[in-house]
Amino acid sequence: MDYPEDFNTSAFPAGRRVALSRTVGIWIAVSLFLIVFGCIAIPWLIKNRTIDPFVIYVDAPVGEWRLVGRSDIKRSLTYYDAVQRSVVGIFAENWFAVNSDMDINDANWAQCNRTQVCDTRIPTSSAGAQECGIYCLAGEELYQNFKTKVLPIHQAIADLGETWSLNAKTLMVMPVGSATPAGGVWKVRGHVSGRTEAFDVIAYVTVARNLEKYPQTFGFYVSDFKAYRE
Amino acid sequence: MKKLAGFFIGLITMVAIFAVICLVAIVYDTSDKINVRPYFFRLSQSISTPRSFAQVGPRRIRDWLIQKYVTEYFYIIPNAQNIADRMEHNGKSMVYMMSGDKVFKDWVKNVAPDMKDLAENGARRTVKVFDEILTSETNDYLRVDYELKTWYKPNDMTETPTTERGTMYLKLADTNFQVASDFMAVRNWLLRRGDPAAIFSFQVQDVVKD
Repeated sequence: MDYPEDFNTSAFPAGRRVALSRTVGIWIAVSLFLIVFGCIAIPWLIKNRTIDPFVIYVDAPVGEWRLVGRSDIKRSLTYYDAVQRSVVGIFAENWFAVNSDMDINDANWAQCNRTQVCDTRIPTSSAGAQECGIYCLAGEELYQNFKTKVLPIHQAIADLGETWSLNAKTLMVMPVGSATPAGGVWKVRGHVSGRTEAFDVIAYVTVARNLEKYPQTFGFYVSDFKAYRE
Repeated sequence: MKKLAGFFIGLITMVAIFAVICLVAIVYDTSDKINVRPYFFRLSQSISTPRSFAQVGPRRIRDWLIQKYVTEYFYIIPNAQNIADRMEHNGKSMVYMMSGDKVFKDWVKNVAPDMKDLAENGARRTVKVFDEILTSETNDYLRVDYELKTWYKPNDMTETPTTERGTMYLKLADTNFQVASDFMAVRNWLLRRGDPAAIFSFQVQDVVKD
């Protein structure tokens, strides 16, 4: 002891060694814990077998293969997907609606003023009971095509007293590829029943977007519709 | 001296934390890589329990894959972009995924253009393989009988589809039809909604049509 000249003289000369041995002891304990943890966890994980099945649906006759039942695939329905499905379904129902009441048919098949009539209401199907059911959801070119090529046939069917109605419960709307905010291509299956005949139909529907002309459906409209009797 | 010791203790602590993070990452990675992923099939013809690859058997898998291939080879929907996508050299085209180079080039040059014209004109075509798929006794080719139904007039509910029947002979590169061994790649492909038929080792090396 040479106080106050030797100011750093420790009060407990063995303190440094004790502190060092404690630190080393703690580090050895931590290392030991990590080693033991590793020795248990790694072999356990290697032997651990998680069943992670992929169920594949095979419709062999038509060559369709589809993955089903995976919860980890993103399935959240976007607004543009949902609205396009709705537009496609309603349009298909209106397209195949031939009623026994010609006034209802004429209203469904009519061409309206797009801004005055179509913009003021939300389109619904209800078997073409609505004014301009087809025109309000169709592109101009498609409507003209309907008017010149399809409408005469539908009018002839109605004149013969026949009716057509696409059963909403049988309607299946599936994307061909993927839907985008600009539109998409859709496949529609359904069953048309009438007074004297009934048949299955399949249709390929192209949906496009024009926000200014079709505000009631967020801009989505049917630009092409091609149906076939199965 | 004390500052130097403090610096080294801090350094050692950082290295130790880094080592622990690495260890945890390795354990996590290991746990992901060792999952076993069996593949089941559900038959469309009847309600049945799922079956494993082994239960279905390579012969049936082969027939399903051939039906898939012939469908991809001939089907038409009234959308020209669909044919254009199938003519691309990428995962969008199952003809590309399931064909050898020569076969795909031949399809793009001789088969697809006519189909594209039909699609542009609003035609639709379905494909069905009928009869048993038989192996030739003299060579490696498989005989496939198919039926094409084509609708040429869209929106005409009175149209009866035109039916054509034909025979094609396929030479396959592999006869095991196993699932690709890279499970992570297969898993990612399926989760990205890739076509499940593409996960099998199936490639058509030659096509001869009657």
